[in-house]
Amino acid sequence: MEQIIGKILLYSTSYFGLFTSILFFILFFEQKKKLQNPPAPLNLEKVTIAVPAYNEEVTIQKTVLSLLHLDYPKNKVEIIVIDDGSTDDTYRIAQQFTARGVKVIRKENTGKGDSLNVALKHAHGAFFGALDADSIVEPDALKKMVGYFQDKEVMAVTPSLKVFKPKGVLQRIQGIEYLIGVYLRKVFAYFNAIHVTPGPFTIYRKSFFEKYGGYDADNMTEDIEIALRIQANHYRIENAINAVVWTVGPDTIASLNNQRKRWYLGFLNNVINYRRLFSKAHHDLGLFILPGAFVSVALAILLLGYVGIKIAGRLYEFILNLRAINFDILPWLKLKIDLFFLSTGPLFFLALIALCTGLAVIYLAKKYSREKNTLKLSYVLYLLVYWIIFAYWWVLAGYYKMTKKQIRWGRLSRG
Amino acid sequence: MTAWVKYVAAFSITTLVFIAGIFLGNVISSGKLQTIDVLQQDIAVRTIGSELQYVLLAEHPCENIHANELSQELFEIGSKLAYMEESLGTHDADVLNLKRYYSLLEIRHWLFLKKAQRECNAEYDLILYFYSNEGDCETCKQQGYVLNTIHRKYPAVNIYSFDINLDDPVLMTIKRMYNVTSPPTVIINNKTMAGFVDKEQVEEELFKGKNSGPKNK
Repeated sequence: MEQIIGKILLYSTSYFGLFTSILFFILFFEQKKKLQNPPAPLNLEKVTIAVPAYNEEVTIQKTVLSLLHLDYPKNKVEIIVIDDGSTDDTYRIAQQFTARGVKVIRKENTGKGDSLNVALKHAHGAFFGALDADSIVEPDALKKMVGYFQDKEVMAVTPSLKVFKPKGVLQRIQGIEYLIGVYLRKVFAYFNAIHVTPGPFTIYRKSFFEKYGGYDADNMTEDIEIALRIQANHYRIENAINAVVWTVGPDTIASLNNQRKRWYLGFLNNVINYRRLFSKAHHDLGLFILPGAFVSVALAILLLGYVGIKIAGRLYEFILNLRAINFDILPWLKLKIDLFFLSTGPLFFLALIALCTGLAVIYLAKKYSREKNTLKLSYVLYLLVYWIIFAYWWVLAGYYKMTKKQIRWGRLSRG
Repeated sequence: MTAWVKYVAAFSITTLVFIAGIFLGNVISSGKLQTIDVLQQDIAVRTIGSELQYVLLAEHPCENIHANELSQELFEIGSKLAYMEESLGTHDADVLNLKRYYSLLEIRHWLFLKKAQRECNAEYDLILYFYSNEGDCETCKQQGYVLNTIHRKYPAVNIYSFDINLDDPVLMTIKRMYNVTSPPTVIINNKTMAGFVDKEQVEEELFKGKNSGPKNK
């Protein structure tokens, strides 16, 4: 019985995974001509970029400098640093840039969403974006993005987000994860189904805020809320795959866990609030992308449970075996390799296909976000273990959701 | 392409790839079963060869017995069969057929060695092992592991394993002869031991009445 359940689970997971990957491939290649961004208009409009910062004395300088180096007419870029009640040198460092036209606003510590709302009040641009103080933009990013706004339906344009010089296992994992995100965001844009507008350097049409209100300051993930709000009002969110923004990933397990707990719980809460998106009126987003996100989470968690039980069972058996031979493992040290015992069942081939599609996705993401498109062995390792971490984060978020534990974010937090 | 066409296209391609994956997996599985079949035919021919050789060389039959080699190969086939059983299920008709044939080959080889033992005064260590994989034998996996370890440690020991539930008249007779009623049962050099026997006990039984114990190649 349990074997049948296991098989059903494994086959449905691979079917769903394969279906999604193929659907996305079809879309990606069908729309490949649209991969080139529309050219920026001759008459560039003013853009306001807000930099919310809480105790970012180490990184703020780099962030602001990258904005000052944007390839965009200087009089058309307005940079506002919001010092969210920092207790370190952030304000003093930011002040050094006032001579170069940067506005610096200092206020009590009220969180990121509120800081952005303060910036919105001071903004003069037709477009508005934020750049976290731990992120850096490529000089040509903005010019690559603004062209999309010629379509009056477009309320936001997302960049390609990548991890800046990843070090250590954790950041490397995030590096690959973000690359896959680069690809997915483009595919979602083709579906008009982007449901997260990343905090760093998503550019919004400011009139959207004027019409539908500013950031939700109490929201755990205000960037998800905005995206869903745009979708709920039947506007478009675009993606400029070759507009690159670099961000720093958490480098400790605890901080990464915290970030994901917040992201996933925030996603859950926001999607529940905007559950009306699950409808025919929202086409691909409502009928496949959002439900599919939940299906994949459910499958990943079930699979984690199944594999966990399986491994525990094998381990138990192994220990019993060792005990039965009184731990005399010497005879087993002679290795006999026989290809006959290599697993070659149907699931083996399906897993192999899944691995290849995963590698193809990373390859495409690297190629179109202007990176050297080399493949590395670590990608295979990533694809083999990432889903476990993914399922774990969701279990964590689900646990917090069910126990109604509140995650408090009095302070500005990264991501 | 309109929206629903994309979904239909993805659905069709996925189904095709899926079927191809399942088909490929099955082709390879049946290829593996075929390998076992070929190996068994080979063993059958060579067993008959040994037997004929034995009869022919009436003068010095005992000098020409190279029994252990065959027994080793039989054991390897046994592991492969067990593996296929695990991946295709215990009730797969092809696997069952191969298993029945395999049991007969084992018995034939075992009888040959017994005869040589009697007539040539040769010393062979012979172990018969009856298991069940119907879920009614908790210790069978460990018993198998113990005997596998013995096989690796003492390659000269001849181990023959039988599915206790296999419905075969010859097997029935052996079960009756040795009083085999429930799995696991291990028969070491004619001594029937019902229930789980750990490695030390097996070794003790093999060493009994010998100075050096089984040959350790």
